[in-house]
Amino acid sequence: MIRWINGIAIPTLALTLGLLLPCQSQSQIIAEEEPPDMTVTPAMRTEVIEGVLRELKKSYVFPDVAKKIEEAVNARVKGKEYEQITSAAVFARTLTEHLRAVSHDKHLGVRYFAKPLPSERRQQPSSAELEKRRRFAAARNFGFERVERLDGNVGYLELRGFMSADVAGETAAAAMTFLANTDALLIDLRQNGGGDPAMVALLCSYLFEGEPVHLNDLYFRPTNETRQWWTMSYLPGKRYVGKPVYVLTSKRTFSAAEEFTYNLKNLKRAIIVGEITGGGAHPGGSHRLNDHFAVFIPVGRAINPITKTNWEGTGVKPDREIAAALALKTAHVEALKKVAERWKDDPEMLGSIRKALLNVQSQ
Amino acid sequence: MLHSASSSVHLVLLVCGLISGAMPIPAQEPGKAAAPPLDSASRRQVIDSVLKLLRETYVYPEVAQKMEAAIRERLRKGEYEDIGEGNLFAQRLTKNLQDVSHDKHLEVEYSSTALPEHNKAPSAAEKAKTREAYRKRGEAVNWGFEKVERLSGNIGYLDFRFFADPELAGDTLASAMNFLGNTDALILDLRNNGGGQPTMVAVVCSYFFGPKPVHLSDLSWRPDNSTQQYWTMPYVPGKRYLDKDVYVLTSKETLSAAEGFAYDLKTHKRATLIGETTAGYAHPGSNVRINEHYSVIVPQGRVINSVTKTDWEGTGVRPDIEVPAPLALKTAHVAALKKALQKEMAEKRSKHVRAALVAAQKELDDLKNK
Repeated sequence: MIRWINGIAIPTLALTLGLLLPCQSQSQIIAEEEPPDMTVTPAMRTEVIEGVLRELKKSYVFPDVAKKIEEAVNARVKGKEYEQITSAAVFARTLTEHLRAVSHDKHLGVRYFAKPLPSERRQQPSSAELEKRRRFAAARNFGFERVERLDGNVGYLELRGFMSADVAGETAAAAMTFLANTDALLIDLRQNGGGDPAMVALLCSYLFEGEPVHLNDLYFRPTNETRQWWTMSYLPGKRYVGKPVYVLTSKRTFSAAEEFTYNLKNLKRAIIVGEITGGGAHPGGSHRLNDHFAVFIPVGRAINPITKTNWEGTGVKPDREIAAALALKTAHVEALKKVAERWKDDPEMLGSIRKALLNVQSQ
Repeated sequence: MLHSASSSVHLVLLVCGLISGAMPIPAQEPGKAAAPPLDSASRRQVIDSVLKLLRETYVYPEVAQKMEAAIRERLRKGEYEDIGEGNLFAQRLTKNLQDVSHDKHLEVEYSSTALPEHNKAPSAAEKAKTREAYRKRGEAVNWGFEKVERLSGNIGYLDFRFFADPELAGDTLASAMNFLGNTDALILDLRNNGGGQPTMVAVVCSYFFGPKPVHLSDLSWRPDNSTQQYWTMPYVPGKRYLDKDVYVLTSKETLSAAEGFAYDLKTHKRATLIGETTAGYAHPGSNVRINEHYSVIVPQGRVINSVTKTDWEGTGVRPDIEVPAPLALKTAHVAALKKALQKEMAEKRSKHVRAALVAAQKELDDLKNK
């Protein structure tokens, strides 16, 4: 199962790779701390470099870029650039920088693990493993951090990650049902680093009704196939239609969270408020290289059915560009103004909206 | 799936206005405000419009060309000159078109009462009205869900008659699956299922596969050259039915989307099909208004199964165990019980299942001897 890179967006370079388990499967977010450093031997360095280049050649979504990376890294090897590095942390970071210098692909990266990685790369994780991940995700309420009714009957949802739809679906339904009676909705993705594309589709589905809407396509190099994502034709809980939606973004909004934003922006279903997002549109999986190193290889890319392109590198440009810290208030005020228009013939409702607007603006 | 570019008619995987057969609607009043008798000009106009529609949107463009050539030849020979009555004209045209295409879906229809125009996309109010009417009709038949039952030996049984809009019918489906969730095997009865929405087919299929989405089929649509993929859902409300056998009962009346559902489960090796070979309708289409009194049911798409890369058009879906439709249920029940007996370790439970098997076998034998 191909995953978006995911992770709680913690601002350190190594962890922006997404906190992944080293197998191509439905990995969940693991908030590990930086592992203790260790020594890396010349043999290990060679093994890692050769493994990375081999995997890139085999499955990186842009084969021509893989070739360029290979040439660049081999040149550095020849120039003895890695010879002095004995720290695993520094090696992983340096190699990652070198890969990205050529590819400009923020999903692509090497990571090291102090605890040895399992040697068998199982196709399917064990049920014990699945349970562990489920518990981890459950402890974070599957990414659903907060739902709230803000001043003026504006709904607010803070989502920290797009977790596996099959376990998170129920929570999503509960959140949307809670918010169903609000007059506008703010979806806060400022701390959302991505996750499961199925969950993106599921959440998008709540904002549409009627015939299925074509959200996004994911092209995968290994199978040379394009996988379409459409809104779901059956959802538990109430859909949120006919009412304005705002998505809050920051430069840490990444990957699947960007897909969600980009989908809604192009379908004109939401106004995007905040900062330009991270710029990662290539889903992929993690490959074990040896006991302590893994590389995340993007093997696919998103293709939006409307724009025919994606947000790789550029990020998603907001409709209202503003510092992330100010995005919530900005969106709240705008939502209230929109709602006021709707109630303009109802003096009582209009009165309470105006009051809320003054309140929020004064904060 | 609604591909309503020119026609805003609700698009379903159906044949011959089967939606009226699948779901009860008020019957059309016969012979009110009769149309003027046909003359040469109006016959020509109808023929031109029908052929244009086929040329532009019929699922197989080469066949559309052949049909055009054949009809124009007949026209030239004066074969339609003696037809003055609308119904007869529609029937003759239909026959001539089907002679070339062998497509039982393709049909020209005549309506004595004027057909409403659909030149504009319906207004929000009109849409709401249509939806409300659909909802009322659907609720009256429980969205096609006729019966859920626990058969002897803890075998589940679900009889449903069509694949309704999942947005409206989903909850009923979920409740049926929850009711049947504890059975040891499940029999899905499609012997009287006339088809419906491909989206509902995907939703129902979802209950029989795990959370990792499975690619069922693609619907390739000629009018705008688009392809829509159908996958199982990553999340379904209620219990999925996993690691337990499923039997699908079919008859020669099993049509369209119902055949698609059976075909999906068969090709993905998720169910055993028992009964008769199905009808063989695989091309979804539209009901397109030609003029005040004529409309055409025209197949405009085709289904491409993800495993076989083809569909069941013409051939129908063949069952794994071929028996006459009236025997299919008992045959499935007996098969399910035999399997359950093999698996059952607990002695007390075994006795119970064996007793159920003996009784079911007797019922089956009695049916055969009738």
